[in-house]
Amino acid sequence: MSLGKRQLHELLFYMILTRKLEESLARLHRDERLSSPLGLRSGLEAVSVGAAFVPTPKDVLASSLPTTGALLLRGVKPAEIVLEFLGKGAEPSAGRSGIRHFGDLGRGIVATTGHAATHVSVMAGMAFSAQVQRQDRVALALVSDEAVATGDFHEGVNFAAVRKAPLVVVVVRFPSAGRTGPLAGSEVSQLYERARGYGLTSLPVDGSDLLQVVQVVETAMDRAKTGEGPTLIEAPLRSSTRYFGNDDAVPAPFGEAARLDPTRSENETDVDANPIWRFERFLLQQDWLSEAERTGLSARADEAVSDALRAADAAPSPSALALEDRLFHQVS
Amino acid sequence: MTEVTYLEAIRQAMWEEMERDPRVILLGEDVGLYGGAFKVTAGFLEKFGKDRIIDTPISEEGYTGVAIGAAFNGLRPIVEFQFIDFIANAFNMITNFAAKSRYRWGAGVPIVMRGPSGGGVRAGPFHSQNPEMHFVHTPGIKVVAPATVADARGLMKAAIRDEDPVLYLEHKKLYRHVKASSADLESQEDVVPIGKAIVRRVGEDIVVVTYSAMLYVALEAAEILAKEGIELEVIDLRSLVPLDKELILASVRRVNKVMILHEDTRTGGMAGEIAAIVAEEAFDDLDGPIVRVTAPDTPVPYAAALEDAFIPRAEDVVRAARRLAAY
Repeated sequence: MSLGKRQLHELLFYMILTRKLEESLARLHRDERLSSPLGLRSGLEAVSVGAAFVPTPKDVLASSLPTTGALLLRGVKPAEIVLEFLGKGAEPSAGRSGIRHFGDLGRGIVATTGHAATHVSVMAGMAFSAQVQRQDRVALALVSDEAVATGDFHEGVNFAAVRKAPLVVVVVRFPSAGRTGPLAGSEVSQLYERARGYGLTSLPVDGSDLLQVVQVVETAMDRAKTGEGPTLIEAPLRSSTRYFGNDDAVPAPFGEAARLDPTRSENETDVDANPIWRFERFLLQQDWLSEAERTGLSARADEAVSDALRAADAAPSPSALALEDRLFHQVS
Repeated sequence: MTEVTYLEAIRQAMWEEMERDPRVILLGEDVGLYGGAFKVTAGFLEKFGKDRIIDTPISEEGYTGVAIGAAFNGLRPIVEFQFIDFIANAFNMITNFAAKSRYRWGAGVPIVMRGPSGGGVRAGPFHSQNPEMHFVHTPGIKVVAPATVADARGLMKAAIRDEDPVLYLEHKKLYRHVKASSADLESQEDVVPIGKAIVRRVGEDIVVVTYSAMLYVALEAAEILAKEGIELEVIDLRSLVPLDKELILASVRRVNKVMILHEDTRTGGMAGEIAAIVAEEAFDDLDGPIVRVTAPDTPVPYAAALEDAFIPRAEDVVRAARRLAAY
């Protein structure tokens, strides 16, 4: 995919917006205006924005990661995201599901459940049904590395493999220190070894590098569309901080918007590990981004977040009278 | 005159719906090449092809998820569980994904989940269960349990045409033992609405509310009791969700005594739920205690002597009815 300067700026904008929006949610939580667990993670911006940049409106996406960026790319407005967190979401959720399990088939977003990989077989079904209906449609599922230990992941991926269904699964590998996941929970730490067990192709990508993510997801989706079957993409992150909202303090990088400024770090390793800084550095080095443009994108993201928060404040909560509505289809 | 079995009625209903609607697909273990463990889908693969008849890996959670995804993408899948006991493996997908989907994000899941349930064929604890209450208790799933040939056919058609997930419980003991003439079948409604119970026998002394294979136990007991001057009214629920409360309450208000009979185990069973509804809404109409006749709270045992003691029999109903009639 050949990207023009404008598209590159848009990609950067969505990564910055993702981070700033999530930081604003963390602040809402800290200020006790939001009590739901947040389940947010920094460091995912390249995967969520990069992977969701590739699908067309006909394709479908589901993610059990904190995928603010992917939702934005699928056309979900920042205000909708804040509203969902506040339990004020409009149709189709009507305040019932929350953003972590948001879905809207009209925008090609399949909702997930609260478990790590329940959506993988649902997306395999999306892919399989697209195949038998001769639709030019690919299903893209994003999961965390914890998901690969589940039966859901295995059964869904295996079904797609058996049917050569157009499914792309991106597995984000979080840094291993102090957590469970394949490194702790499996003797097989590299996804390509698992993929071989399913008879699948596996593609590695640096999950902190936006353009790599775009390129690899595009390759996988092309394979799917030409009948070559599912692909597993392994996207390790170099750095990620999680904020579930159960802690007293909002940890960096969520606490400080200033951390977005790449000039604050002289350390190249830090920049490599931060998808936003890394992409900014690349654009600046290529002379595809000026300081003024960078400041402008950041200001635009600030404005979008402010607008979203204002809209969320003004929106009403759902009526308790609707509590029992829409459990089943109603004939109108 | 041609006889149609309960199994054949299920087969015919699916066949006709697949002919009528190209969106209907069928998936499960051995449903294609082998024609299903009970041969319910024999000939389907040859007729409808491999894009619509899907032999799946053994992966109930996975292929139920596949069916949900296919439903989101415009198809109307029928999922076969080779034995309904294995639906336990798909519990998460059914209760957390299919059941909640329309409510929480407006995405309907028009799938039918069907499979052989119930005991009495010496199949032991993993091929004889009645799992209905796991799903009756989960808001968002419809549950049907036909007892007759006409209902097996009509409820399957209704389930396939329904816009929401429907659990269709087919009692394996009825498969080849319950028959109807094809002429009788043709005179019946093509589609039996989900959520409507039916009075199978009118009586004035005790209402027996039941469903699935226990209908025949109730009717057998009614014949015995009639000779003693005790007349049972027998209600066949047909659907457990939605439950036809109005029909149950109308009978209770007229007859004033009620017994609930089911093959499922006792605690947390359908009988407890119906007893509560009757107590809340028709207490003043009762002339005796609400009585439950059910299987005991054990797994389904394998040995014939044990299974016979597990599944309610006509004599159990007769004994309970005599006690209740004395009030």
